[in-house]
Amino acid sequence: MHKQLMISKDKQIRAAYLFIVLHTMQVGVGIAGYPRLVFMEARQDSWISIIVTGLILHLVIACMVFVLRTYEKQDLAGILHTIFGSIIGKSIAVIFVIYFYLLFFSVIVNYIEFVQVFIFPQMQSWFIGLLLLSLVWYAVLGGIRVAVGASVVFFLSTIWMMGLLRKPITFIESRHYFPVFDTAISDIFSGVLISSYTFLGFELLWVIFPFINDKKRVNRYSQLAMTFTVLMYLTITMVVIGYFSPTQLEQKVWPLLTLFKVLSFPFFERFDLLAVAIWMIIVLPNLILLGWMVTFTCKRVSDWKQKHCLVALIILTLILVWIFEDREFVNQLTDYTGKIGLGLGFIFPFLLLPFAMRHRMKRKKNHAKN
Amino acid sequence: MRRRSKKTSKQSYFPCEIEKLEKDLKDGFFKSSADFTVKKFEHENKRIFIAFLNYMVEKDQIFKHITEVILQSNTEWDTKALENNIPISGSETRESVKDIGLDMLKGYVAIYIENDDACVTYPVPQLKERQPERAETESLIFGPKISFTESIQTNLNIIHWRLDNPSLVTEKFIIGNEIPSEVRLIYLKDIADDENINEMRNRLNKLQTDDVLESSVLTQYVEDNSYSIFPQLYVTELPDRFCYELKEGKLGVIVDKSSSAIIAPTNFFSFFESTEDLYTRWNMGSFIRLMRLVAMFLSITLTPLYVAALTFHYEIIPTALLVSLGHSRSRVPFPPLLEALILEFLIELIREAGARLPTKVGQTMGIVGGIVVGQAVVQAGFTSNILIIIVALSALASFTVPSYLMGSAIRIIRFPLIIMAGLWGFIGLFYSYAFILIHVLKQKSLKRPYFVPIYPFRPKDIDNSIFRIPFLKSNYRAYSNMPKKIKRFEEPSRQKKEDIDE
Repeated sequence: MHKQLMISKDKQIRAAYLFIVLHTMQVGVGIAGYPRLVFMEARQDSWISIIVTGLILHLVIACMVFVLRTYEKQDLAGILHTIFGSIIGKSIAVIFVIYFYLLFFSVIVNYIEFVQVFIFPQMQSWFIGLLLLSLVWYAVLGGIRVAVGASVVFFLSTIWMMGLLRKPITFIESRHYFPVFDTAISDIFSGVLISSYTFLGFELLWVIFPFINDKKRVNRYSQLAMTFTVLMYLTITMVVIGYFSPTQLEQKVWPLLTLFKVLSFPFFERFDLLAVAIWMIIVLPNLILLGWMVTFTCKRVSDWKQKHCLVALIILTLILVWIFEDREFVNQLTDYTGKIGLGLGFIFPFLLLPFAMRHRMKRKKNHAKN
Repeated sequence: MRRRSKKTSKQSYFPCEIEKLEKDLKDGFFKSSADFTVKKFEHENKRIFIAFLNYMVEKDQIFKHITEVILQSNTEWDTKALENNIPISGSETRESVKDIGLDMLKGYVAIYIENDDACVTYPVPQLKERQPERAETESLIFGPKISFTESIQTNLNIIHWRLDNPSLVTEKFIIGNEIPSEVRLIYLKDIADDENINEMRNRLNKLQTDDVLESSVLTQYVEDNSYSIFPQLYVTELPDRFCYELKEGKLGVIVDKSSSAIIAPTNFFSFFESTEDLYTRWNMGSFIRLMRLVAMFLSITLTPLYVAALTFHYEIIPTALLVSLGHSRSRVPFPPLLEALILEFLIELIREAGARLPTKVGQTMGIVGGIVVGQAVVQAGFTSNILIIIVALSALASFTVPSYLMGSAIRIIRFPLIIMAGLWGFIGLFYSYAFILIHVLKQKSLKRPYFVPIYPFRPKDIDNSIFRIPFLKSNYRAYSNMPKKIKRFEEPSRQKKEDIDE
């Protein structure tokens, strides 16, 4: 494995895309159920949980960028290889591949569940999986540029849905927001923990970093993306809390999708049906970028061809989707993925920090010697 | 071929008898063609031989500038004297029968003086061509109406008159091994990007084919992805559009015997631009451009949405609409998918029949097909009224696209979309949209991204493609064409803003 990645000029992308790419990676299936989850823990003080999560996120990103900058032109696999040597480095990288794959799989099963609950209860899971996976296959074959492009175009074609919140906002009851500052610190903290799954996806930075053209701006745009995501989640959660009464909210599994039920246009009623279909466009960037991440890291670790990794990924997912079909399993999988993500996504970068600092010190010494 | 011609030149065919040359040319090269015309005469003790293809040459010129000149002089003629004294330019000295024959095919006249070392050929081609006429496929209401013709000479003439700039380069290529055609790569050297030029030059040089046929065929030979339904190079018959794009830093290719020109590289959105947007005021131009994009979206959305809604998602139809829909569909025995496919097919039939028939009959065809059959179809209970409206609207919308190829592409992708919507409702529909978007993102035109300025996102180029701003404000060429000179002109000096009453 080459630790240093040489990326040809036409494969590079501008740092500004990170704003959209990281944001689309974070927004996906999680947001539909997130307001309820965080409300169950932190009640009316959910906004504190979200802001705290946001602050932690900014720290994590700063830490990741620091580490990545230390080892220029290397992705996660390369960095792990440099720090821990061949065997341990590779095994940690394999853990990450499995973790990325878990994310990928949890996104796909969650979306399949949306479709089955809202639109087609009879549709077979594997068939919806096949539809999504065929698109992932087609896009990932185009490489990183198409993956990023898909996320940019899909972001632009779905961001208008934020405007749909205008109608529910008019139905907000302000007393749903009270009492404020009534939640115990420990509950707010568990609200932060439960948020982890929804905010995951920024790990893309580990893999995409060598492909960035102007690496100096990476920090700026990644931080902006985090701010944007946090603000978006905060808005959605506040609208949902204001719209539903606490008891109602606890019963709604996907409050955001339920929210769309009140929308109606002169030529269109029951917007939630369309929303679930459009959600495919929101979920696809997730899947495409995750698919790219899994296959690319897999290639880096194993020296297989990325094409073959992609085919393996798709066949494996199809089989797994076919085997695991029930709601219980999806729930558990999402929970576990969130917990693993807490460790590998949020805490892991800080573990690499000391190594990166030592590397920088060494380099400085070497410079001084020369 | 080349080897053989070398051999003959080594052995040296000439000097020879006139009769031998005539026999070799007529029976050997031209396979006893009836149009092979020979004139033989004696002048000052030398036998002179003149040969040409009957309808390929201007006979007046031959009589006036060749035969008369030779007969009226008293000197003895030889090859050198011919070259010096005949007042027609572009003479060639040929030493093999094959070369002479090939020249004659291009409208040359061959003159040979018996027992000389070489034969002289002069170009006196007679080219039947039509005059430049009004553009038919890309008709404009506003602005220049002239269109290209089938003659490369006329086209070059039109282009040169429009672009009287010393940096205009026209590189010549001969493509086609059975029927060689002249192809010209045209660009402004000071503006066009070198990488693009090299790429196009390479593709033209590498191209191996028997016959180019037409410029839209040439695009299919040189484009990036032959399997996509979307055209990747713009084919236009309007010289003003061609020259405008050249000035913007793109390349042009024109092909002899073809009345349209190729513009490269092209992005997706330029298929929705018309030069008319430039001729009208900027706000009108912007509105019309945006309207075309909306029309394209409606064209691929309306019918599939109808099919999806009526097949699977009744819930989305508002009550008021549901009553009238139900009423008009109550007599229709088919499922919505079949109903929509029948009607879309009918519209396509009318369009195709109207295009194939002569103009006058075509119009009648449109009326009969559109009004009479449409009415009858509804009354017979084949389709619902509302579907007729929807299908007609989406057909109209697809015709607003200025590029015929792109319009056809949009009309054709509607069919798979309808089928997907009929099979899996909204999921099938959005699956198809996602597929189309990814597909378009993957395309390239001359190795440049196809979906620019949306991706790669270039906000500064949007005023050059998706809408327009006043000319004085948009003094930058599109970045995505990578022009050498990015500025069109220096920005005008700002006038001091005055207060309301000063």
